[in-house]
Amino acid sequence: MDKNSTAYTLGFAAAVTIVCAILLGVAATKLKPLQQTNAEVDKKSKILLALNEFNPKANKTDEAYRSSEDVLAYFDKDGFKDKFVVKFAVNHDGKVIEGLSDNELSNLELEPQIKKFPNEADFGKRKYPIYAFYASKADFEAKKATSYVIPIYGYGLWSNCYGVLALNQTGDTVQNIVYYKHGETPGLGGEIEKEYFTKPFIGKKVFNAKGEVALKTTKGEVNENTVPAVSGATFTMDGIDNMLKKFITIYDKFFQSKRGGAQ
Amino acid sequence: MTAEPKEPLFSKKNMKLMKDPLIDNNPIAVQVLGICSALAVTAQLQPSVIMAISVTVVITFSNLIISLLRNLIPNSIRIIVELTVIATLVILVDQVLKAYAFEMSKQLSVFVGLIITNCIVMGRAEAFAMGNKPWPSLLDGLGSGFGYGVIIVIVGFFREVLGSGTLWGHNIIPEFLVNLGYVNNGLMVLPPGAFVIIGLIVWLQREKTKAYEEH
Repeated sequence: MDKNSTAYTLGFAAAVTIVCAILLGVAATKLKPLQQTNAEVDKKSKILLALNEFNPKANKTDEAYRSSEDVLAYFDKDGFKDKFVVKFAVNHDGKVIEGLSDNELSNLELEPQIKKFPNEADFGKRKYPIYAFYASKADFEAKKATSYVIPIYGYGLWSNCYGVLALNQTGDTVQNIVYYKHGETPGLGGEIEKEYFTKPFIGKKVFNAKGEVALKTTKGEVNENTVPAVSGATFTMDGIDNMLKKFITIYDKFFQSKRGGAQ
Repeated sequence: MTAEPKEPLFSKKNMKLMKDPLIDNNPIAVQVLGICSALAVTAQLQPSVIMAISVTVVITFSNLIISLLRNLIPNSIRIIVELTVIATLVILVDQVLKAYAFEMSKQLSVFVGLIITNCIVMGRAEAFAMGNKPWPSLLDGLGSGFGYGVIIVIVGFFREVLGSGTLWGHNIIPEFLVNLGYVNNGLMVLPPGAFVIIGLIVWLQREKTKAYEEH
């Protein structure tokens, strides 16, 4: 057979393509459940990280070590050593949305909600995901959360930065902040993922004396609302300030009820 | 036509195929191929090792498969067939990493996918596997993979130690040095740090092999 004939060439190309496609199709299907579990564990561990329940540096023998099963257990109906994380959703008025199916709730993400309803008239249709952390089963039954975790995201210099912000039960003090995904310049804006940047957030007050959202980065002296900015990363810092203000304002309608009208 | 005497599997000629790319004809240090990923993934040792293994697997199998198909591949589409085989292997590696080494696959991110464009893989398929039998091609692939791996593991080692003060994620800089004012070299974390180390390796390597290019 003539190896250089058009028919042979076409046939060969088709054969190679089909064989490769079948191979990849089989591999992708077989590995998909494992990959999905990995992605889920990864996402949930970031929430636990913000809650100081997860230490990625812990060795297997350490008390603080959490296996993939442990991470998933926190979100399970039995909890991890009685500790619970429960995901729920609030609407734009800060009311808890009841009656969502488990599936809908577990697939609920902040960014698609914001993008799906960009106009102010539709804000009422948005469902904002939020996580409540209970220190024990009794607390869970009494609906007394220790802290809440809200997702945040926004544009930095090059990319969207994604993070989670843990607030205390009244939503006015930061417990921790974790940035887990971004495409900022390594060494400059990329430093937002480092502990030296996020640690100063711990214990900061969200509101200033006038009751405005004042949590942000600063180049000057820090006060009870501000943390040191990363130098050389002005645009990334602006992005962080913006997203903090935006999402704290949105979620605060939910926290207002927790504060019992004190503010 | 008399049958050629069968060549032993690990004959001198075959072993040379394996050893050559390690030092004398190293893909990175001599042929200056695959530099892009050598800069990108070597900030730490662990991703470097995973990358080295991934590239070795891809080169070895692409060489083997291409060599098996070499008499069937129509000349006019040989490059695209090579590319298809390589791309399939790379995506397989990517999928396996995502399933069994998720943290790593996140760190390596696009660079696993970019093995497809790593000139070493394509170069060996086109220059060697298309014209040689499967077994020598496989050895050539292993050798080239190791040659690439050796360099990026060395680079990854020095960049992690000097840049982050850790090795395989463990802290290795003693406390008292830090207290004395020791600071990690930030340059090493950034890609230019890899250039410096690769430059030093190339220098050492040319000193040893005396293989200067005359200009």
